[in-house]
Amino acid sequence: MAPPVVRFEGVSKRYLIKRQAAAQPPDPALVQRDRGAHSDLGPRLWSGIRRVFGRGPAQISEEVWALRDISFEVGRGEVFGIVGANGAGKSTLLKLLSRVTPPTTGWIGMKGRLASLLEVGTGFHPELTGRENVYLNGVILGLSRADIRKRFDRIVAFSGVERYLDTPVKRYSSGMYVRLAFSVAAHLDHELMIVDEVLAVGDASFRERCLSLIETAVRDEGRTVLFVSHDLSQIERLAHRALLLEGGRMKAIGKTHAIVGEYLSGALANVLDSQSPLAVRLETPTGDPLVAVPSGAPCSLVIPLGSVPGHARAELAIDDMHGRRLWTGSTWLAEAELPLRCTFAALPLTAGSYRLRVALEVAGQRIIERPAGDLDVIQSGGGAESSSLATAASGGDGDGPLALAPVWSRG
Amino acid sequence: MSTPPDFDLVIRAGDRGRGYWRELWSHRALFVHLARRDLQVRYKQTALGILWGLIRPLLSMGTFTIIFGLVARLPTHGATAYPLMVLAGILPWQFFSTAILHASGSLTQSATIISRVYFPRLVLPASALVHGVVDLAVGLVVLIVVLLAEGHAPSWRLLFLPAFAALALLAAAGIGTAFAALNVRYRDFGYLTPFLLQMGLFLSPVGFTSASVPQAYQLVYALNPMVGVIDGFRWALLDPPGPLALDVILVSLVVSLLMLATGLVIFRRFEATFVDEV
Repeated sequence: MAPPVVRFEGVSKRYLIKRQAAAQPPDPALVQRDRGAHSDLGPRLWSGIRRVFGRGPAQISEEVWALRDISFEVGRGEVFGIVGANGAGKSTLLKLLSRVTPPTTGWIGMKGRLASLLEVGTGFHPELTGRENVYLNGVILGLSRADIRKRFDRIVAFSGVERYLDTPVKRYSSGMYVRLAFSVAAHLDHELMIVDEVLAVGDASFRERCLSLIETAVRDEGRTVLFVSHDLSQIERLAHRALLLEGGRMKAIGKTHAIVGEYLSGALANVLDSQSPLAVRLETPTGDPLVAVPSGAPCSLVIPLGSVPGHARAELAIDDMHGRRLWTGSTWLAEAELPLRCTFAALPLTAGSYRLRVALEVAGQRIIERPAGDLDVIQSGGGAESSSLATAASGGDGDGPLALAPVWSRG
Repeated sequence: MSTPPDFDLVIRAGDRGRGYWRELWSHRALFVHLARRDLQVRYKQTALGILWGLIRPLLSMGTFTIIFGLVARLPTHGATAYPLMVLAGILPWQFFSTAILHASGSLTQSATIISRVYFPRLVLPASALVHGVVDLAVGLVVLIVVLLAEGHAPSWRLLFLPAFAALALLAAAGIGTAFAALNVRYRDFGYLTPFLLQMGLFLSPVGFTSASVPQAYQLVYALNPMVGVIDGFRWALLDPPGPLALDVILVSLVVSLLMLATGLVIFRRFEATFVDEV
């Protein structure tokens, strides 16, 4: 490996979370009665005063280790990916590196200047024009005025907001705002770059330009990039090596492909453990629970997926009681922690009981496939015109004779 | 623990302070830009714009003149009209209180920057201090024009005005940095500051001259650093009877420096954890 330009050695970060000690759950009846009466103002004021003078057991500090014993090296010209679930410590790690917050133990060494593309737009002032903000932002990110002047045309050209340079940025669309902000950060030309989720914003073509900008910077200028993204395909595309964080600790470090694979299987194992059995809920499209759906009526099937990594595909199937596949539908999952909702404008099944199955696929590999409860369809009030449908059309987007085009959504 | 090889920068746990002031100096461009940003946006989207820099002191002057000049009949000094005497005190006072107000809110208002980018945080309250400088300049120009119209030609003393303005900033700097840091953890200071400033307005010689204070208490009164500043402003602008009391100025200067030292100690103590609390 090239000589290290970033090194973490035994780095930990502890946060002290303060919370009120008197955290007995309030009696709802009392809360109701006291609302507006402020009868608890006296005690609260008193405990506040006692707190100022350091008395009273008013607050408890809880230790939270956001990072624990992190040691690794990144070589010059390397793109280093950091993956992990929400709360694994990815952003804390980058904050330590960018000196925003100090480590509790250990040390971090780095060579060269650091450009931080942490959530761009930092220091943009809504009242100032695009031009003024480019200068202000550049200075905040550590450039001199002369440096910015030299890069100004490149920054503006990349952002594509030339026409609005002298408009206050509060009049910008959010896309323009983000593009301009990213452009400033991306043109710092520092030897080290930290990229934290910034590529989650902007449209696809802008994202693509950003990715190739980073690729060029690494390939042609030998710059080093530390990269956090929930989009594992971006990580796989850019990063040479990766680090998997879990609960603030290093779970694995190595070649990107292996690390991403380990992260995915770990994440899916979590889904399996916490969600077994997977019980699909039946609801009206507006979210009211249903016991059974009238034949031909609209309905939603809600799949209670937990935290699923990006890059996965969920599949929902409807079988009849004999196990014959009637319909299969699938959708790509963006990482989210919401249930997945599959809404049918009309469910053309005759009265009876049906079986649901859910499958999860990652990179073409079927990781989970399991029964997910029954679907009961009852006779609708308006007769049974739809009775022939169950055996009618074939096709759809999967196996089975039913052709349905549900709407997939989260929540 | 092994020793770090030759990295340009090594961040160690529990290690802060070394090279801080050099680092602060290297961020002077940021100081200039933040200060300029504040001035640029100060009167954005107001109908009267920079006129506010004039309206506020004039309204205060009117109030003081009616209540203290006409009703309470507080004395002015020498040949100067009471309203002008008041205005010469209000301008530095508002410069001072604007500086404190903005400096003490500077960290909490910049929470997003603090949590994303590293730089010595002292840049923030420092750049907020000069917030009132344009207001002061506008007010002074108007005051001098009025004095000229009254046949009162400015003398060489005017050259000392910047020094007294600097003394006002120095006095504001200590309180401003201390309150900025404390405000991050205890938002109480956000409520306390305007109240303290209002009290300070009446405790400082704005509606009266410091000569009204008994001679024996002059130096005790000068512990309020704005006494020296306002005396200095009036001396430079108005030609009051009697020489400038240098001992009063000196006491104000020393108090200001002590407050600045205290403010910096408080600020540095809290600084490392701003981002975790802001």
